[in-house]
Amino acid sequence: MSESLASRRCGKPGCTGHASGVPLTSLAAGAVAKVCESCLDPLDASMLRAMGLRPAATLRLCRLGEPCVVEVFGGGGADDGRCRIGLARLLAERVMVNPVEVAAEGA
Amino acid sequence: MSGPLRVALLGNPNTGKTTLFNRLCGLRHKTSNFPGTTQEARVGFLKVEEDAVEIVDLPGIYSLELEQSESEICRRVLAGDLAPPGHQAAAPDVLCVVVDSCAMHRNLLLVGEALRRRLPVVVVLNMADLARKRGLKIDYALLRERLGCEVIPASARKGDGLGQLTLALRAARVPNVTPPGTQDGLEAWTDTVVAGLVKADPAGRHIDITDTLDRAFTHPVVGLMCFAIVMVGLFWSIFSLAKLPMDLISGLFGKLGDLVTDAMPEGVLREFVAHGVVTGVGSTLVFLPQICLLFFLISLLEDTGYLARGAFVINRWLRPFGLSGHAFVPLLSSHACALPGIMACRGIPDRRERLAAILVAPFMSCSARIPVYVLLTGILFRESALKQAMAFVGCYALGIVAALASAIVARRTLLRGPQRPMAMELPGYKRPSLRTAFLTTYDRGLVFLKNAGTNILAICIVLWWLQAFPRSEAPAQAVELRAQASAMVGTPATTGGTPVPPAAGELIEQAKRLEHTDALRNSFAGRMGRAIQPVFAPLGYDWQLTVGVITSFAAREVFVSTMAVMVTGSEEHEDEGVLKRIGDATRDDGETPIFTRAASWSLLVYYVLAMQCLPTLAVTAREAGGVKWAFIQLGWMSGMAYVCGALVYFIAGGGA
Repeated sequence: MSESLASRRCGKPGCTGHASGVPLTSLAAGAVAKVCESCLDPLDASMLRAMGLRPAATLRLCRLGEPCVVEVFGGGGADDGRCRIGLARLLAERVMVNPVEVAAEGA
Repeated sequence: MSGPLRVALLGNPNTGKTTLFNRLCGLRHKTSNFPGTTQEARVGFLKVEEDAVEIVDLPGIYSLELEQSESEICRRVLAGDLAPPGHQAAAPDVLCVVVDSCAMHRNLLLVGEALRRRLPVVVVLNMADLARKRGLKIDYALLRERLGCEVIPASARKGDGLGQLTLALRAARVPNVTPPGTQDGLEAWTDTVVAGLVKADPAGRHIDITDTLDRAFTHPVVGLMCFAIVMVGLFWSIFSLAKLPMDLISGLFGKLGDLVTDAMPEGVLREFVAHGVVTGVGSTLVFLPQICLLFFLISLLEDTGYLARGAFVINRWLRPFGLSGHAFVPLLSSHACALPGIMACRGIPDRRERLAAILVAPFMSCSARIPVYVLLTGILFRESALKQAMAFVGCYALGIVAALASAIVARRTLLRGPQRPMAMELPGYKRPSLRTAFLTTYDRGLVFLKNAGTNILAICIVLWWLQAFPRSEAPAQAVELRAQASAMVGTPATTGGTPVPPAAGELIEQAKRLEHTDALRNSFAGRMGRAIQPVFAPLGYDWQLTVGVITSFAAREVFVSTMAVMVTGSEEHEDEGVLKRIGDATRDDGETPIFTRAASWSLLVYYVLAMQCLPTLAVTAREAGGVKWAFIQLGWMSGMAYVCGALVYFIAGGGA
């Protein structure tokens, strides 16, 4: 396994690494990121997706821990709507994200 | 148009959908369950000019396509396969989708799914006032154009925009926009719809303390302390505020029973009305203050946005037992009474966890057990108040341990299934709506009275009958006492009418006690006690204790009054003298105490664990969606109580 892939392992047991992104739980509180993929059970994945945590969604990690609290923004940023979701760490560590350098407006 | 305009109210959780329903329909609604489900169906009615409108409040969902019971119910209602009881299943005439103006992007997914159904649609942008306050300017005309249907900005909390909404419902048309059918396509469509729709006014921005509050309320230590403070406040309020109305109801029905007794001629009908009907109605209504207060306070707490945070804090403590944080309030409130506790389980989203919580909630020591605990700990530790208190605490601890252990068993057997990690929307903090809280309380109270209440009344009447029949002749000793009393006053001795001398009065009271005891001994309940006694012999109970256990099957607290009747011939058990006489009472041999030390320990454990509450079974059957769950609860709890009671009797030396 390549070193970069190893650094992209999510919390799912046996995960060999993801092609892109880092686990949501590896961010610092306050960081902004975009969701790239997840390693969740289909039921959890579809539920979170319906709740707004979908691929390419922008989020801000408000609290790291148990639970992780994220604020999910609409396509155009916080003004298109925002919702706050509490996630058990077990779920959060399986959501892969790409950190965004510039904080989203309103974040 | 024939019949009322049928409107289905659809929306994400936390969009104010129920507030809107309450605002539109007020008290003009009925609550039941969708047939064959445990999901609540609320149907409201309103008049728009001369036209009748019927509104069905569907469960809050994030998507119609999710594999969860709430989504399935919405799908079936929209397809015309399912309708609330008493309504013909047919697709609604209008679909009203409620959207949170401050979270429009996410909410539009469900709007897109609704538009795909090709039903007339009206979209309500609720909390429009809040969006304005946050400096968000929404282009409603552009949104109407992009969705191809009517869009109404509204504030359900303030009642703004409702007139416009009711008119729009009557004029609703099938939208001329059809969003893509795939999830990816739908998500891309929402991006297109929302693009450029909202303009932010920097002047409208305000300091957001949500992050700070969330950090505190979900912190492992600070959050737990906050949770403990909130819960202590909640339950202190329930115990202290409900006491007065409960006492008033008890007193009122006691007086009503006396009035009936005085007003009606002596006979079976009088006893039926006084002890069957009046006691039955009183036994139902006495629970109402606790139920109403619990739901009123929970509704307020939920509305503030705090409860979602609290559920996360306690989640980590309940997960090892197969339960989630949602189960905490129902379990804790069961310490007041299992009935509101079980009804509060409606807030647990996962079906298996909900059923597990319903099944184990009655293990929590409710207030009805307190008289039994007082009697038995008093008998066991007559000289030490400290030991009595410790035994009391031990009873509560045993109930909690039994509940958690049973939850593990239930989740690993009957309710086996993956325990999904918790994910929950954390709604914004806001001032709670008193109107919503009152309407929720009214709703829950009515559901309780209509469903559980009628069962409780029927049960009370049956139990009265078992204790009152067959009628038996007065025992010879009582006849003799009455004759002696008559000789003293020179007329037939009764307590009414002619005043009697104190000595004669005492004789009459003695005669009445003997008659009471004899009547109970020879009643169907008494005969059942004798017949069933061998079953309870391994627990150390004689036939009198067995009668106490049988008659308290409807309600645990009846045990003490039954024992008072058996032992003293009077239902009065408030004073310590009577409790002492119960404790000192002997079996038929006149020597062996009824309450031996081993039997008392066994009985104490039995009452902590046993399902001695028929109203709880009635509510379990209703809330769990089937009588089978009530039987499982009865079998499990009674079985555990029996085995543990027998074990304790053996360990305490009763078998020697």
